[in-house]
Amino acid sequence: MQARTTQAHPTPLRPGRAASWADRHVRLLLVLPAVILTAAMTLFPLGYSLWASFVRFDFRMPGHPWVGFANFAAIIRDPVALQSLWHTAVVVVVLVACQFVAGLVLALTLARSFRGRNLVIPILVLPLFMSPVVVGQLWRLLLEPQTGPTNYLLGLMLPGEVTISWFTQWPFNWIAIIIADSWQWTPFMLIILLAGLTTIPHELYEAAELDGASAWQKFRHVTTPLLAPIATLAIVFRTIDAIKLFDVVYVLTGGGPGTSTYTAPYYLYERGLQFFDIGPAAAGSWMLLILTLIVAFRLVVRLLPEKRR
Amino acid sequence: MVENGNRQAMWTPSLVIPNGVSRRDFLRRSAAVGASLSSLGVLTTACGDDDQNGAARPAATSPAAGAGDGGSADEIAVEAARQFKGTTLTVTWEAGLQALDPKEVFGPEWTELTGINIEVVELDFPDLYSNAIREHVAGSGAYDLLRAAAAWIPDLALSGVITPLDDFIGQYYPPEDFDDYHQLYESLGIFQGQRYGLFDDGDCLIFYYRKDVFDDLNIDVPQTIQEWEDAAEAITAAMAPDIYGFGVFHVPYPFYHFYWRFRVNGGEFFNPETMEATINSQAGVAAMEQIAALQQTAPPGAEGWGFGEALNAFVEGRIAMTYSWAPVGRWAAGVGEGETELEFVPESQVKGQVGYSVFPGGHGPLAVGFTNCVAANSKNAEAAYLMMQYITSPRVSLERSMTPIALTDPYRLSHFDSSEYRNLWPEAPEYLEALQQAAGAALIDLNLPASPEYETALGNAVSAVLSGADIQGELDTAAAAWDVITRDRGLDQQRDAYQAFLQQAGSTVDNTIAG
Repeated sequence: MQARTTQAHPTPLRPGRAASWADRHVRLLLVLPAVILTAAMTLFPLGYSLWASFVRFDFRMPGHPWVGFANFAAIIRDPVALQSLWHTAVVVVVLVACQFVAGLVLALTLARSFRGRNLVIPILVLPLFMSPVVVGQLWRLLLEPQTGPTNYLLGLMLPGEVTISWFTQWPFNWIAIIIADSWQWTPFMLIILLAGLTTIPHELYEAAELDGASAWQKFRHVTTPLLAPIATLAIVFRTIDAIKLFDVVYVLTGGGPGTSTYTAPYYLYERGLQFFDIGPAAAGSWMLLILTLIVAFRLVVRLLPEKRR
Repeated sequence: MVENGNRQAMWTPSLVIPNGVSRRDFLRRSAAVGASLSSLGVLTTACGDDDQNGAARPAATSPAAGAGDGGSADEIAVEAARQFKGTTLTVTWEAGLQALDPKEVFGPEWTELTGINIEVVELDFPDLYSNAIREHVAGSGAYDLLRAAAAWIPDLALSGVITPLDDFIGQYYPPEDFDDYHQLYESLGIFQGQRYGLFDDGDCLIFYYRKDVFDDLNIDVPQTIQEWEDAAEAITAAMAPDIYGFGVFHVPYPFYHFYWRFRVNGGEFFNPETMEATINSQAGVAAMEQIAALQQTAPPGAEGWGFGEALNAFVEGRIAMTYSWAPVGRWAAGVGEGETELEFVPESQVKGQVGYSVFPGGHGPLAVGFTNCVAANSKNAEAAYLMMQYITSPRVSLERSMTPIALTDPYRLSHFDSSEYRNLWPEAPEYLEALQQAAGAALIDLNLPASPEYETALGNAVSAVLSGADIQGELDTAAAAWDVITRDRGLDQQRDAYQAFLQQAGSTVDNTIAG
């Protein structure tokens, strides 16, 4: 009877402090597991790598004594590291420039509607979905000096026998790398720039035409400023990705001959994962990351019109 | 008569491996044939037939050879391994044709005899080293048997990646079978007084040349490096672009070309006291100049050749001289033609025209020299060891070294002397004698802790020189890199290891087996 009375007239419960806090921060609590997981997955490897760059990380020796900036100094003193970084800088500029120009030309062409456009775009975009290793193998077959078709076809067009060693002869080894990488990544520029072009209102071109603007003037004063934000995005993304150039180099030239096609990632791979020189490799990776961030930041500042930043 | 006999015994897969007979059956049968031929050889020698000089040795190639005193190495291994029936051994092996050895040549027979399965992990040559270390660091115990270049043994041993084998050898390996190793190979696999590996692949390079081209141009077989360059220049001048004087593999091991030439020119890798790298000395420059000079006589693009391209060029008759591992000699003679696995080897255009010789200058390299090791993290160490003993045993290793689809090169005295092997093709005796002489005069790879790092730095210099870079500059860069490697690894450790290396047979031209 008493119980029934209690049930019928329950005493209002005063929420505890914790429950009250939970009520107020329920949204935070719901996202907290995901935040913790993401932080663990992102920050832990970064933190571990940062720690490795300040210790002697040699599995042949017990312990990991603190070495300060010695690993960073080892990278800076290594001429092969500096040469690899220089190679990376040059090849990134060449790759991004080539791919941007080619992507823009293709995008301007494909922005107009024509018969077969819906067939051409998927074909052009296809390499984008291939693994870079497969792209490297494909171009290795095509450029193989003795058995590949490239030298043969060039021989049909040029006088005399063409005996270019695409993988061992400078500058053809770099040309091979640039061709293979551009074949894969120009479509990336194409897609982004094509998307940008389709967002430019047609009325602006009509207005420019009414004002008597030439095709070049329309491109210069309508297309360029309106395409700039998305073009910046494409260039920044491609630059960041091109700095990581590794797979195609690994497959096509193996960094050779000598160290003539070493890129920074290839150098770090060799040092860290072939020779297990983990400390300097981790230090080099951090230096490359910081340089990449600086480059990306500078690109955004330089390329994006001030009012859009 | 001899020619007739040779023709009958010559390796013709369609005759030896009739349809419906598995490779496993073939191996078993060939062992029996080997035993019979070896016995015949002994009798022939006893009757004074000098041609079959190999038969003068005891017939260690037969299964019955060691049976009288407890069995031969393979029999003992099989008997002991049966207790591990049902186990699966994971073995690393160089990818491609090399891996057919465990997959098709010895593996099935081993599984049938012992009930132990083999899982083959095929890896590119450099990954045999790096993957072994990576799995060791991870403590995965992923591998049981590790296939390693002899030069890597110090590094793998110091790192604790591989385990000493002395106890196993004492328990299982019959001394008479162990003593059958050619003296050059005996010490490889030993580090700091302990044996970590069983040597398993001769890998002494020999010099191959076209007898018909030499005859046509009235050129003698070169005896010195200068004569070699002169001969190559003369052939290229007279016969290119149909036939070039010389061509050789470079990728991925360009440093091998330097290693042997450098020592033939009187070079020392380091100052033994200070451990300062001395590869940029006059001997180093001379070695690089010789490499570059011979390359001038090679077909265009040959600086990027790997083993396959050089093999094809020689077998197709596009180059008159090369040097390479033993299989090139067998395939150039047409041994193994018709085998599905060898379809990538073009039909030989130079059968019967190939001369075999030690290197002009007298000393060539023992390049790579695969050695089998037991992974320290293996949960099946004893079974892995027993399989190593089985495959390196006189009988099984002879079969593997004769089978055209495997790339095992002769390394036992009984291999060089095998009458069965000598009857594989008409020029086989000349070939085996060249291989044995090469082993006697061979210069082994520099084997120190961090060998792969030294090799890479030097290899970069060699491939840069092949592409026209400045010799002295590249050598100075490589020497500086060597100094950094030495300092990073510890001067004292590297000095001790180098001084131990200098004691090994084949470390210098003054310290070869032949003397």
